[in-house]
Amino acid sequence: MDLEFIMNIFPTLLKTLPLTIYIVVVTAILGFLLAVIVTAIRLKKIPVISQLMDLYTSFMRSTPGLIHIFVVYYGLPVLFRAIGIDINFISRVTFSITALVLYNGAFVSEILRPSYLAVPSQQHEAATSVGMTNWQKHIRVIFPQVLPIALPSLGNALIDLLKDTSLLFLIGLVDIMGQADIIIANTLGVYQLEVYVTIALIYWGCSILLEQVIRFLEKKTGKYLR
Amino acid sequence: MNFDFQVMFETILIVLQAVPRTFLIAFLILLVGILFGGIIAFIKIKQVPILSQIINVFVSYVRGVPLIVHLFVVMSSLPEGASSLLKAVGFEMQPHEFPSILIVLVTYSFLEAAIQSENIRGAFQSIDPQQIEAGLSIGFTRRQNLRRIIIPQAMAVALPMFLNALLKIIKALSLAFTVGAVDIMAQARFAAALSSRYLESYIAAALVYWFICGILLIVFNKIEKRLQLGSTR
Repeated sequence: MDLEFIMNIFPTLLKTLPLTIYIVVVTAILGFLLAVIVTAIRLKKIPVISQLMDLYTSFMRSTPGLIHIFVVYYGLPVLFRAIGIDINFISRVTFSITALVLYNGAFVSEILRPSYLAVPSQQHEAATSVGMTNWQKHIRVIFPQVLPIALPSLGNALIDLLKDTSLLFLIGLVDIMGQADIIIANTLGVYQLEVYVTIALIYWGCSILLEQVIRFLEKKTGKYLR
Repeated sequence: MNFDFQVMFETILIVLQAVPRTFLIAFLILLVGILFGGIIAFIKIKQVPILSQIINVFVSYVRGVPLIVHLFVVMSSLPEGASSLLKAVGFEMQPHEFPSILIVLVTYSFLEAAIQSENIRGAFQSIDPQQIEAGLSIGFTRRQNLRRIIIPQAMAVALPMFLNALLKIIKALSLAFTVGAVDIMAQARFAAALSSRYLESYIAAALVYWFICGILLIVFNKIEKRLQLGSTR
């Protein structure tokens, strides 16, 4: 172990972190929106679409994340060419985000659905009985109770998302792992272990940071449950 | 290039050949994970000083770092370490001769031990302390208590978790190709390299995974139902 080398490459590796953070933030937001739509469709049991969504979540949850990334990367261009659109100009970042959003939409929907169902039906009835509209009922009574139930799992999903970004270098994205490949190639593979240990430390730090943020949020939203 | 269904079906047949091997590896990892996870859980429940703090750091590290990074760290340290260790004992082995399957087994077992230790701890803590007192009150020794009262009840809680873990390991093994071990994913990549049809091969692999998960979920539900029959009276 060459500690000096680790100190040297640390800044180079950290420089790629903004790209990872960008991907995580965009994916988390879009994935959550997709999950809300999927959950709403499945809860309302809209015929045909609801079954399609069941199929979609089951497929996404049964196949490894790596496959989603490869299928989107190789499949989207084929799909779009079939309807006459050329998307070769699209960057790898977009492919990455698409694949991760598709997965997270399914995964988070499996968190949101049980959390929504965990709110007792009396809460719905009580809200309706005091004359709230459907919209008011959900905003004022139901969602504040769903949030603290779902938050621990959502937090874990966010940390999993951060960890899933480590696979994107396999389609050629130069994030922290892609940068690692470049450093290893430049040093002819002598410092392989040092590079990967540094990356492990960076990911560990990020995960711990995220965990603390989530714990803080859990404390804040916990008051709705009382 | 259009989507070629025939290539996809042929690839499915090739990929299916890797299923038994993947199952075997996953099962082995789960067993080792449960064994070491049990030891870790025991140390944490007993709150052994120092050891228990070290384990906290270990579990936090294992859970905070992506699996592929774990694989690469082990890949770039274990073969060299093993070869110098063997040299000290008098055997000659080059680091690149180190079997890649061992890298996979070691990495995933560590990971699984960390995850299962939390599950096992949860299962033991879910047992009502009165059950243990009741066992002691009718004259069971500690060992009898553990074997006849605690473990059967903890098993009912932990078994569904173990079964889910098996599914997760099978999916996680899709990364094993990065260090050269052959599972479903690696087999699909071989087929893809031969036919140079990447999309078809990956979709074939996805369908195989989906199929396996579907079958396993049906089996698991049956097992879980049987367990519930045993606990309700």
